Amino acid sequence: MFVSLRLIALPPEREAEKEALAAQLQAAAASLPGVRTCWIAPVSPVAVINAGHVVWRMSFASEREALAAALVPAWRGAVSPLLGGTQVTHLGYPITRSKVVPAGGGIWRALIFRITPQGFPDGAQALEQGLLMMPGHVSTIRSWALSPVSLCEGPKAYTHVWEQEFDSLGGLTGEYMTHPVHWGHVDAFFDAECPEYIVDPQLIQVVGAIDHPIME
Amino acid sequence: MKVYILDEIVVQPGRAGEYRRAYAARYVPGAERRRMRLAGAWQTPPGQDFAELAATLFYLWEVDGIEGWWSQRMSKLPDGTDERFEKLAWWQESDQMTLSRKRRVLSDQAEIA
Repeated sequence: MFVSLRLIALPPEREAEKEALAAQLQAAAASLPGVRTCWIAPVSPVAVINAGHVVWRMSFASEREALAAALVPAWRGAVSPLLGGTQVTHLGYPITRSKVVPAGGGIWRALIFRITPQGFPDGAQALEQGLLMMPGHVSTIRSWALSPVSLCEGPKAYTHVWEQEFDSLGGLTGEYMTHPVHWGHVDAFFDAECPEYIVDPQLIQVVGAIDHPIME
Repeated sequence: MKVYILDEIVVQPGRAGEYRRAYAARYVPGAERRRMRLAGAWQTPPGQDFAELAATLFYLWEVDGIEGWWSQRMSKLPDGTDERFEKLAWWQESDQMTLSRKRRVLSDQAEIA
């Protein structure tokens, strides 16, 4: 499976349009070919970093189908006009390491980051191993995926998408943040004070409310 | 839970005094603003600096639990901007005087706490 994730930032004078834009994109996306799942939502104003205003996550059977969806007339006619005047960060990534459990609503959260060149390969591998430890220790993570970015359009060459689903925002702001596996181990790769520091500070954290699981 | 941050810094031969002065002037004031409390500082070899030998300096900081740890980690400058670039600038300056360093996060041992 291949995910196409877009984070759409509106100019300040248009921020109030985010609900309407999400609804319009939902309608436009219905005519795109190859889409297995599609979730579009206003970005939660809580616990976000550099996330823009609307998040759009689609999954496809393959990268080829994801790329093809943006080349059809329906895209040019219905989607492109809606994205005019916005800044879009687009990430494409195959789902390779994940665990998804059936559940109800809650929140979806993604941390999108770039490991700097000096972090490869050893630091990147250590960071990935640390992140992959977290679901085994943080009980509020119900579904997760750690994915290498293979396609990136936008202002920063992001390398990884670390996404999870929680029953509620409290699962992220509570146990996820307070568990020692986070602040005592994994965070060193993100902390400018640690020798392990390899993550570009211009990262993205995006959170959105979901009424059903969107990861598969 | 008590939380500590331990810096273990291996300083180039002959530069231990210079490093201690730089750490005191360039790092300690900012750390204290971030509500980190210096609980101890040690060195080895002990007793004196040897110009022929690298010295390892240890600085043990205490913070107010997990909340205090995140507070120093996510600290802001007085104007509200991220302080990480100032922190990074110090550690890059530090790197010019050192051979290696480690930063570890510690807690009390459960059986002894």
